[in-house]
Formats: sequence, C-alpha cells, structure tokens
Amino acid sequence: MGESLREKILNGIGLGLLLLCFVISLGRIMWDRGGNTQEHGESVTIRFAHWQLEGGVREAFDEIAAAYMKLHPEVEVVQIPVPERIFQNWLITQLVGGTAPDIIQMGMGLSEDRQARFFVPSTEVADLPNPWNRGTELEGVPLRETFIDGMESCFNNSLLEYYGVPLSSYTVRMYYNLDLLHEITGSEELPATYGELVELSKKVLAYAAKSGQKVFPIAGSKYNSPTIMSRLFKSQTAGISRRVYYGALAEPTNFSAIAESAANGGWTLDDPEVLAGLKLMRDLGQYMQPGFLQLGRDDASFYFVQGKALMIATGSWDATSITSQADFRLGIGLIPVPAPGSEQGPYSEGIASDASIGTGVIMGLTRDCEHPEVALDFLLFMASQPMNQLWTDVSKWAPSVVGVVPDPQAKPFQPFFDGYLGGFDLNLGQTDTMRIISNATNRLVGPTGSVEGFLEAIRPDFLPAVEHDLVRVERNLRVSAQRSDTTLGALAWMALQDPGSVRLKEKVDLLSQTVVAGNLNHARTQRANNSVRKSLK
Amino acid sequence: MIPAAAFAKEAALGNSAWEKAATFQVKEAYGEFKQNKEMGPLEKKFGIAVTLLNLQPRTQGNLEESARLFGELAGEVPKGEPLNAFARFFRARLMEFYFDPPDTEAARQEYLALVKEGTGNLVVELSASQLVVLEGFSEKSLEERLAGLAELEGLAADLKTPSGQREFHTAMGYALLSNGGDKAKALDHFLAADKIGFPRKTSASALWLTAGTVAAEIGRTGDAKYFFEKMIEVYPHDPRIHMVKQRLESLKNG
Repeated sequence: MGESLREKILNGIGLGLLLLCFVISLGRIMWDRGGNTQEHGESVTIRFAHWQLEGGVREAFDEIAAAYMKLHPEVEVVQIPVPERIFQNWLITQLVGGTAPDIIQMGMGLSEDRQARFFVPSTEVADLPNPWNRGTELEGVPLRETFIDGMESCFNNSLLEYYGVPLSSYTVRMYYNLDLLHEITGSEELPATYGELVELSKKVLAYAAKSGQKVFPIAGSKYNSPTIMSRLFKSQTAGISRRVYYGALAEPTNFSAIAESAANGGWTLDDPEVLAGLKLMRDLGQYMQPGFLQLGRDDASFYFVQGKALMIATGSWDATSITSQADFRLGIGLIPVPAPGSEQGPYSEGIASDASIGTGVIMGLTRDCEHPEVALDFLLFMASQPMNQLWTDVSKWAPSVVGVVPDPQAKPFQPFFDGYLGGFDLNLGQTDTMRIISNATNRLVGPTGSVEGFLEAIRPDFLPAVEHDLVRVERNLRVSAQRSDTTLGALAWMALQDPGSVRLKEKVDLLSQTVVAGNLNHARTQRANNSVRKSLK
Repeated sequence: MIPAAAFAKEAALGNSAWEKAATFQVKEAYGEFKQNKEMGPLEKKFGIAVTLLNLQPRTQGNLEESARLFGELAGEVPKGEPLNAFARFFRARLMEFYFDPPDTEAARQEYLALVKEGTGNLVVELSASQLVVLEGFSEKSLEERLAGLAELEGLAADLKTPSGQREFHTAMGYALLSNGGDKAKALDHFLAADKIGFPRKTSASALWLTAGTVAAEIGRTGDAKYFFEKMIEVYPHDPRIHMVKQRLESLKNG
C-alpha cells in the first residue's frame, strides 16, 4: 500500500514537472513569437542568414551586428550561417514553413515566383538616401547610387524590381606563394604577361628538378583551370567576334551570333585565332600538376596552401581562407594574358579587363519578417559606407559601396577595367558544347595531347552540340518571353485602372523594353538554330 | 530609422489577383479570378485569359481556352476601347508564339490592324515591334525580308507613345543589321530610339555601343563620337569603357 502511494506521488511529481516544462516552453515560444516586441518596450530580435562560411565573413557580420546592437540595445541581431550544400533545401523549408529569418542572402534556390512571393523588393528604398550614410560623402545620395554597380546585380529582369542590397564584389585573380617565388627567382615580382608567366613556370619546373621537391607552377583543378584557360582562349578571339557580329563591342560572347556564324562559315575551328587560343590552353596545362582535370576545388587549394604549387587562379572569395591556411606570404595579381603581337598570343589586344563589376552577397528582406522597419534599418546599416568599410576590413572581401577603401588584402581584388574583354570562349558558354570540350580537354592538355588531337576529337561533335544548346536556349527564351506575357497583361490592366500611377507606368515601360529585347533575342536564336541545322544536313 | 512607408507599400504588393498575376503567382491569381464574384465579367474574363497563358502545366486546352476568352472579349468590347485591343494583342501573341504550328500570318494581320488603329496604349503599340521581329527573322529570302522591313518603316507615324516608338526603332535598327541591311538607316533608327531614352542600362548600353560601332564604320564620325561619349559619361565604371575610350580616341585622331 505504502509502496503504491509512493509510486503515485512520484508519478504526480513527474507529471507536474512535465507540465511545468511544457508551460515554460510554451511561454518561451509565445515570448519569442510575439511577446518579445518593441511595442512592449522590450527587445526585438532580427535574424539574418547566409551561406558565406569562408574565413572572415562571419566575423565581419558579427562586428556589424555588434555595432548595430550598441546603437540599439533593444535590438538583438542573430547571425545564421548555413552551409552552402544544404542552403537551398534549408531556404525552401524556412520560406514555406513561415519560419524564415528577417534577412536572407539571395541568389541560391530562388525561382522568380519564390522571390516575388517571399521577398520584399527594394525598388522604392533604392531611390531614398541611406540614413546611415549621414556624415559621409554619400549623405543624401539615393541608395542605388551608393553601390559601385548602381545595384544592377540586384535587379530582376522578369519581376522588374530591385531585390536586396549587395555587400561585396567579386573578381578572379592569380595567387602567388611569395616565399616560394623569392626562393626560386630571387625576386618577388609578379608576371605581368603570359610570356612572363611561362618563363616563371619554366623556372619552377627547373627548380623542382634541381631540388627534388615536388613543386608545380600552377595548382589546377576542374574548377580553377577553366577560368584561366578560358581567359587565354578569349584573348585570341576578339577579332573574330568583331568580324562576325555587329554588336561585338557590346557583347563579344553573344551565343546566337557566334553560333550562327560558325554554321555559315564566318569562323571555323581551323582559324588561326582559334588555333592560337588552343595552343595557349595546351601550353598552360603543361604547368599544372598531372591529373588536374580530375581534381576538385579543395584539392587545388590544398595543393597551393601546402606549398606544392607556386600559383593558383581563383576568386576573391577564397582569399581569407587561403590566407588563414597558408604559412607563407601571398602575392595577388591579374591573370596574365599574352602581350599584343607576342609570339604566344599574336591576336591578343592587351591586358584582360574584369568582365563585370559583379557585386554579390546580396541580402534581401523577407515578407514575413515580424519587425520590417527594424530589419530594413539593419539592412541599410549593413549597406552603409562605414559598415561596408568594416566589412572589407574584417572579411578582407572587396567592398560594394562607393568610396570604401578596400582592406590592403582586398585591394588586389578591386575590379580592373582598363583592359580588354576579349572574344568568345570555345565552349560558347553553353552546356552541351562545354561538355564536349571538357570531355576532350585531356586530348589537349594531357601528356600526349595536342591541338590537332583535340580538334580531331571535337570536330564531329562540335556543331551538333551547338545545335543542342541552341535548341535549349531557344526553348528557355521562349518560356521566358511567354512568362512575361501574363505580367504584361496584368500590368496593362492595372495601369488602365490607375492611370495616375507613375510606378505602374514605369513598370510597363520597363517590361516593354524587356519584352522587345527578349523577342529579338529569341528570334535571333531561332534563326541561328535553323542555320546550324541546315549546315548539319 | 526610416519610417519605411515605402517598405510598407512594397510589402503590400501581391495581395490582389492582378498583383499576383504580375508577379508570377499565376496559380493563385487564376484561382482568385475564377472564384471572384465581385469583379466585373469582362475584367474577370481578361484575368482568366491572361493567367491561362502561363498556368502550369501549360496544356493545349488551357491555351485554346485562353484564345477563346480573348476572342470573346474582342467581340464583346467595342473597338476603340483598350480592353478590345488588349484581347486582340494577346490573341495574336498566342497565334504567333504559343500554338504549334504558329499562325504567323493571322498574328501579323492582327498586329498591323492594332497599330493602324492608333490606340496610344504602350502595350498595344508593342505590336509594331512584333511586326518587325516577325518580318526581320522570318524564313523568307533575304531580299524579301529587307523589302518587308522597308514596308514597315511607315509604322512609326502611327505610334503615339514615346516608349512604343522607342521599341519600334530599336527593333528596326537591330533587324536591319541582322539582315545586312542599310547601316545608315539602322543608325537613324538607333538615334530616334536614343532620343526617347531608355529606362535600363542593359538596353541603353547595348544600343549605344552598337550604334557607335556602326556609325564609325560608315564614316558618321559625329554620331559615333556622340554614342561613345554618352556611354563614357553615363556608365564610367562599365568594364567596356577602356575599349570605348580607345575607339573614341582613334576617331578623334582621324
């Protein structure tokens, strides 16, 4: 009997504790969901998520958040770093489940309808001055004009709105192991041209042979190598682009124009410019470690930071990670291309320009955020000139805001525009053509490879692959143009009902421009496709 | 802290069926048009027809239903009213761009009739640039295409909205160049389009650089300088600026 009473009391205590925990948890959830608000004079929590787990970035975000919380003690800013490989799934779950953070990095896993449904455009805010730029040279300047690319990277051509604000800019550079460079050459001067790069690479090979050390000139991988090889190839084809396409100055890589002229004999795989570009690719491949085409991005970085390669070509996003892992001094320079009229690249026009300004780390506001004004304020704070300065100082990533002085480590990544864009890449930037080029690259850069062997391998498949790509691109352009029709119809109706709306008028105007450009592009691609198809018959 | 009136306004987007239709929320918009009992019958019909264009999965049945509804609207709403023109424009679009095989001739006739009606509505005036695209990239012989484009030259006079004119001139300029047509005429079209102005950098810069190149090629140095200088002035940070400056320099040096 006593035993049974004790059991009942213990069960009662257990049940009571369980209920207490439940009530505390419920209270905590309710507090977090709504009770913990500014309206009650209590604190507000703003959460922001991103996938930039590279060294320095989280620290930069932390410092910016801390600076904001110091000014606004009532606001708690929480950073949510999410690994890139799960970001897309995580994002969709959060958005659909209604649990998304207030601010999310945009660009991965966002279809247009998701963007429209879950994110708030920044179009109107873009026209207002950023209040956090007060006291700087950007005081009173519309937000849009405070970014080096005028917020072009944030504009969605289909939705006709700006979304988010950019925090950084990206470029690709050649990284050098300065200690090793000094040891090999007795100098720390970086090569300025492809010719100098070749000379340096030869010295590295001679040093490796003499010292018995396993050192290669360039750390390559299937991720890094195409970047540098593409730039070399393109340095030779600008003349072809100009010859075959009236709009080459605006867009030297226009796919349909280059594809159509390939079908009509405007250029061939045997043109001297193409052969020169391929020879450059082959020669460069000889200076990378054997089997590089099978290696991934991390393998190449590991090779470089281990001191087994003097150089690696990669983006500014890898700078902090490489710096933190390498126990040697780093040098960073432009990717060298052949000097005009040089023996290696006779068709080169000069130093390669960075293809675009390419701002990134675009942070956008979600529609479900509980404290939109606070979230917007924090977003603008992050995008202010002083905070972008803090961003570059801590992350060592290049800034996105006008007038911000890049950290000395980020300075080499400032976009370089006093150069040439070059012409088209042999893969024409398209999936199927890329695949056949990639599959045959070993015939070009492998130990027994040659330009002739490579051409022999790709020749039968080149135009059929271009045709496949044209079919796909044409289909995509058609779908994109068709999607615009519903928007156009809706805007036309709304503008009719609200003739005084300047915003609607602007949107119809913008969409008209997009529709006509899209239809022209589609028509050109369709014609190119017909030309390629005829040439294959 | 910005009181964020603008933010509140933007956050409110996407609430009505029309706003949803304008932002790719087609399924939701279609459902709301179908179920809405307060909307006028013509508005409702137009909403359903417009969303059926992109309701997924896109079926032949949906497209035929859309064409039928546009056809009904074209019959029910008197000519001269915007909704009549909208319905005919999108029906022509269906014939040209959605149905397989397309009925380009019927679409062409409808577009031409719409331009000639002089509606003064920008969306409807896009019919003129559609005609240029249909003609300039048709499968006719080169001579026929150029002759067809020449016949369309007069349409500019029927267009009343600046943006409609800009898009027509832009399309004509590119269509002429794509067909190896008269470069001087293409340049004139580009000048006319530029005079109206572009709301976005992508189209503006592409046109200025192409027009500058063409002008330099045919010896219209003043026009070439004008386009290159404008590019340098408006987009000084563009990655193509170095090359543009070089072109300009060589023009100045004769």
